Amino acid sequence: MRQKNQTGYLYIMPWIIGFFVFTVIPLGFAFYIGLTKWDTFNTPEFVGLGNYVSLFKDEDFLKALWVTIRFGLISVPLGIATSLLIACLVNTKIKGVNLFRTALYLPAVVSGVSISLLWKWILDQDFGLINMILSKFGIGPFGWLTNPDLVLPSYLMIVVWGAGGGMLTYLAGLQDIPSHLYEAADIDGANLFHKFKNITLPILTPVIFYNLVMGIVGAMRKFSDAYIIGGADNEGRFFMVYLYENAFKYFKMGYATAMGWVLFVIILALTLIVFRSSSAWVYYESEVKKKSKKGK
Amino acid sequence: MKFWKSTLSLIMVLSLSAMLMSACGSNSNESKNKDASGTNTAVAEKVKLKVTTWAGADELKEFEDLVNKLNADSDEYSIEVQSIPSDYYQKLQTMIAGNQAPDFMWLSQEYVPQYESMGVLASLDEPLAKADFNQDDYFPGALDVGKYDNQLVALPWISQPYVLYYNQDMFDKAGVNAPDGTWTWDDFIEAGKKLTTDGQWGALINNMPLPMFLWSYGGDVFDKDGNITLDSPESMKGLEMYQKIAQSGVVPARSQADSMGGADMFKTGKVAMFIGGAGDDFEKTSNFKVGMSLPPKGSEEVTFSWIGVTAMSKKTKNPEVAAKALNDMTKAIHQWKVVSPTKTGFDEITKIRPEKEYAVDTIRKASEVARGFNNQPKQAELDAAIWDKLVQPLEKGEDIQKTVDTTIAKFNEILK
Amino acid sequence: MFTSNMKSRRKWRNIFLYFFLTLFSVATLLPLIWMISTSLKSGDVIFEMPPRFLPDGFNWNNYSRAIEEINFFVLFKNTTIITLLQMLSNVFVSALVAYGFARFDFRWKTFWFMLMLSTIMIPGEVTMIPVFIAFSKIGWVDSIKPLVIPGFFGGSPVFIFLLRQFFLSMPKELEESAVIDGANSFKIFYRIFLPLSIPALITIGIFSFQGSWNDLLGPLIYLNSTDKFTLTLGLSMFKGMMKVEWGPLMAGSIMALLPVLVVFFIAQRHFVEGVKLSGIKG
Repeated sequence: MRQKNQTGYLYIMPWIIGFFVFTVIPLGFAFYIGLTKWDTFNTPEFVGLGNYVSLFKDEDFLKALWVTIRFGLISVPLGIATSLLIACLVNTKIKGVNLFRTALYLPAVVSGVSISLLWKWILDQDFGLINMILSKFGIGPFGWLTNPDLVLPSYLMIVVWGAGGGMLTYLAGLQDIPSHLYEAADIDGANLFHKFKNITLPILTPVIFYNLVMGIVGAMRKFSDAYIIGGADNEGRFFMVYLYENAFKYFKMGYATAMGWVLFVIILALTLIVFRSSSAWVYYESEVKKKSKKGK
Repeated sequence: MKFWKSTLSLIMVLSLSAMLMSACGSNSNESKNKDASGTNTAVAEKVKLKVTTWAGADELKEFEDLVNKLNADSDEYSIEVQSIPSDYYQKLQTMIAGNQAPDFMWLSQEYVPQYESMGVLASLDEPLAKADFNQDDYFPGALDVGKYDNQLVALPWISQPYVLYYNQDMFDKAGVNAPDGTWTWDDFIEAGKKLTTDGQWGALINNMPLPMFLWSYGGDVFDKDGNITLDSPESMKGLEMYQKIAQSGVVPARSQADSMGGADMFKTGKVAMFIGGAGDDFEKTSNFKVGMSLPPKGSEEVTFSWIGVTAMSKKTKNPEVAAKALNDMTKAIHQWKVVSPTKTGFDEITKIRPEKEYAVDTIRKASEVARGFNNQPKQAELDAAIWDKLVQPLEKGEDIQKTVDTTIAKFNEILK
Repeated sequence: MFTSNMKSRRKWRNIFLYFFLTLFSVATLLPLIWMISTSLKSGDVIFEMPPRFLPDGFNWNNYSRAIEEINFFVLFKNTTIITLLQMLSNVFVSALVAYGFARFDFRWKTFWFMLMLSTIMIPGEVTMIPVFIAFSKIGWVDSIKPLVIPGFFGGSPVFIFLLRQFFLSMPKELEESAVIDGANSFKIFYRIFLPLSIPALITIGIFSFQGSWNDLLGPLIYLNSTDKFTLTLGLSMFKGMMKVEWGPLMAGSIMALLPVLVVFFIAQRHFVEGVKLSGIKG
């Protein structure tokens, strides 16, 4: 029974308090800063929408936006699919699965500067590991980071490599699937693919939905490794890298803040689209009516 | 309502425990600070000063020791060292924006005009005049980067002039005469050609700042007054030479040099000549005989120097005492860091780094002709433009006049 | 006949599984192997080209340097305190808020939820200086307060979102039967929802632990005194502006990494195929 009264407010109250105490003021401040020229040290100078107007005339900005969106369009589905696949593979009772899980989860644990530096070496044209292996088969060498066309594939490679870090949420979601459903399917003679499509996937949709939204946020805000790895022709200069440069290298905080708000609007728009679409494909057990409609 | 009570109490307990924990943390620290200053309780009026540094690990401890010694000797000030171990400038910027500016800050030379023009730095001219400050002791090129807007705003504590290191073994093997300090860039290419064989190169220039070639022929990117001089005939000569060397085949491609690290290529015997800071540790870390000479020249004898400075915040409460402390601290660093930007500090080099003794005269000469950039308030943006529009196209062999024109157009866009 | 068919199918499945998992694990283990190898190399052979994967000997010196030069154990303690406090708030407060969003209808619910999600979408770089100014006005800089206290007011939006997804996927009958038994909503929350979402809680626990443990920017901005530093800050000291001390850096990183790996290894054992919930549905 859903309670129609306002009890829910009691539960979300800590967040509402926190929002008003810690978040509202800085956000309001940031909104104002987006309308100013500010070197972070002196009084901001009001310029109205000037920052936003110059943003869309700024070639570097448009390039960074394009690089980021293109990366997001490919990397989000790719990351979700790979993480899901890995989660399914390690959700079995085979021997040593604990060790495999830990090994696959490593990319999430050892993140940071040293890993980015390691990737820079792996992708290196002359001494890199990948070209070293490829040369054994007589292929290459490829300029992974020096050839502008290969920069995006290089970053996608890193996404696939790090997909183990995303397996955890799926793994948790897989625990919600009662084993009797699979047993019943076994008796019906369903093959692996059918079991995945008809049992696993629908129950995982809430988690996939979560990862889709967070994937969009993460891809649009990609920063750390890109800042170190870079890439030829500014193909590795993502939105946040350019924002960071403006905020903390060029002391153009007003401009950077305006970029932040543009990014916010883009992510929000994408998220709203995803939320709108969710009633068509996300399946929540608590909403029983939809269950019968879908007939799964 | 029972639920509300339990929720509330849960939150209370959680946040209380958090506060308690953090309070404990700060309490223990306060008492520690008291302990540290407890030795000087008699002179409680000491001016408290703070210096931010990027020094890490052992270097930080050495710096702290040095500062503690100064504090013990002085009854006017007490300096506290604050380590910023990562993203130095981002944290510094945030601190200043939050009105928590340190009294002193280490800066790399490029940042001096930027910080000065934003009103962060205090002028040192007046307060230093009252301190025991000897301007003439500094090598002029080093002190120049501490000046902006006709005033001194920062004191250099290190100035590493670039010198030409060479691998004596490789020279002997190729039968090439070692550089004697009189070389021109053409001699440099000539020797490089003889030293370049399969898998090894004569020299490396990717780590060198481009303006050094311009200075070599009397040009510069900007002149002292901030006018663009990139297209002057002297500057063009320098750019021509840069492109000539980059395309001569005696230097590895940038991608190769970057992936291995220029210094490491020299260390491992992949290149025979390397132009780098006089304080580099090749003598200790390489297994061949290392030689050193002045860098090659064009029409002028000049070299680049990597210069670190300490600047003083405008917000410091007692500028007079602070300037005194800054002067003392800077002098003390001159006894510690190699290479010192002062003539008196210079001689320390043989004590601190005995392995450099063989080249002391070369390093001294280099220090005398060394200089930093004519930095501009928007130096970071300008540097990005130089890299994007000038260095990379030049190395690809594009037309010099054309790249200069696009670079200047970008400069004007940034500076408008 | 039927069983032997099943058996061989299972056998082939396992062979495929092992092959794929091994292949993938080799790739993900690579950085760790490289870190270990680098941590054992002596100063001068760290950069050889082409790089050597195996160290030239066992140079334990790097480990003692990492411990001595940065006060490893003090930093370890500091990091542990911050991490545990953040984990506490992230797991429990987030669960509370997520429960509110998932299992109740109230006015403006969608508005509040989208507002909460919006706060994830604004880059932290943009609000960093305003937030710092605010915290320095109330004198919280150079203490762990700005790092741990906000978490107790609302947990973390990312984790609230994740838990909401899990709470939403629990059948309605859970509450209905409990309400008939006379339980109030908070009792339902901690007696039914929390125990049933242990995998999800463990997930955010791991995320939170590892996020706080590896966080660099938060401690960097808010902590000034060296004796309050965290491990990531201490380790950064080996990454100088002029040169990187790879040996001690990697040695320290490995020692800092171990707790996270141990926590993960222990926690992930709770993800066991199909033992959960099978009883509840019936």
